[in-house]
Amino acid sequence: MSSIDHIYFALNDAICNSLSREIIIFLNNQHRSIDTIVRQVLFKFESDFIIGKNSKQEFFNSATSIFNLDITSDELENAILSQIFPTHGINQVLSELQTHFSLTLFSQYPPELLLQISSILNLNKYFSKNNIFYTCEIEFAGQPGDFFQNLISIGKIQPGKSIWVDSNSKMTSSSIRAGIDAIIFQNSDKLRREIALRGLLPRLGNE
Amino acid sequence: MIKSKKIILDSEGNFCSINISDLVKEFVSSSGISNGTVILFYQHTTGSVLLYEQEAGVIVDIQDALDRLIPENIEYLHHMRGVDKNGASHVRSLFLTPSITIPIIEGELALGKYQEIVILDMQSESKPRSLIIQVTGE
Repeated sequence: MSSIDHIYFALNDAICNSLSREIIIFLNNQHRSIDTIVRQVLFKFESDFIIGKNSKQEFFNSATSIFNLDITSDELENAILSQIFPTHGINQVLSELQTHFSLTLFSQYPPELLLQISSILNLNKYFSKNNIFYTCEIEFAGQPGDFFQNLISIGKIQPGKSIWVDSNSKMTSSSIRAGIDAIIFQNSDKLRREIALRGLLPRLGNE
Repeated sequence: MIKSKKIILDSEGNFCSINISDLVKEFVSSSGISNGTVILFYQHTTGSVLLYEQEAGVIVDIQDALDRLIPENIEYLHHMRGVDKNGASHVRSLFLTPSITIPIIEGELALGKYQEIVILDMQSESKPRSLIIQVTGE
C-alpha cells in the first residue's frame, strides 16, 4: 500500500490551460514551447482577457491586424490552439484524484488574480479554500531548492507522502532533490499515466 | 521539397528542459511532407536537442550523471576570459548533441512510444534559445 496521500499542484500556465478550454488564450503566454510570435500575441492580450474586455473573436481579429499577420483570424486561432492546447481531460483526472487524495494548489498568481482565474476555472471544485497557497506569501530566498526546504520546514509538505506536479522541470528537479516525488505536467494523459505508474491509480489500457 | 523554420524559445537555463515534441509535430504536419526526414538543429554551445522521456526523475538522473563526468565546481580555462563561468556547460554539450534527425513516415514522426523531443539548456542564465527545424522529403 502506498503512503502517498497528498498531491500538490503548482498553479501555472500549463495546468490552467488544461483545466478549461475557455481560458487557454490568456493564461498560456508563459508556455515555454510556443514560439515568439504566438507569445507576443498572447502577451499583448492577456490582461484584456482576464478582465473580460475582449471577446474571443475580437481578440483574434485585433491580433491578426496589430501584428500584421498574413493569416486569417481563424487560421491564427487554429495555430494557437494547436500549439498551446495539446490535450483535454484534466478535469476528469482531477475528479478521479480527489476521490483518493488530498489536492492542494500552490498559485504563482497573487490572490486577486487567482480569484479571477478561479471563477473561470471552478477551482473550488477541486481545491478547497484551505488547500490553496500562494508562493508570494511563502518566505523563500528565490532559489527553487530553498522554496521546497521552506515548504517542508513550515509543514506545508511532507516528503515521502506528497507528489509535486508542475510544468516547470527546474521546479520538479528541485522537488526531487528535496525528497518530494515530482511529475512534470505536460498534459492530462501523461499526468494520469505517471500517477498510475506509481501504483496510485488503476492503470488503463494505454498506460 | 525542403521547408525550414527558426523557432525562438524562452529558456530559464540552468538545466531547463523544454519539450518541443508538439511544436515539431505541428511543423511537420503543416509542411505537407509525407515521407522524408526532419532535422532539428540547436544553435547554441551550452545545450542540446535530445530524444528522451521527459520525466522528472530522468532529468535529475541526467544532470547527476553529467555532474559526475564533468563537475561544475572545478577550474575551467574558459573562465580566464572573464566573460562568463559556463565552462562545464560548454564541455557537457560536447557529450550530447546539437542535432537530431527523425524519419517522417506517412506524415507522422517515427518516434518510439516514450521518445519525446526535448531541449536541454545548460546555460547558466535565462535567455532566448533558437532552434532550426528543417523538413526534407516529398
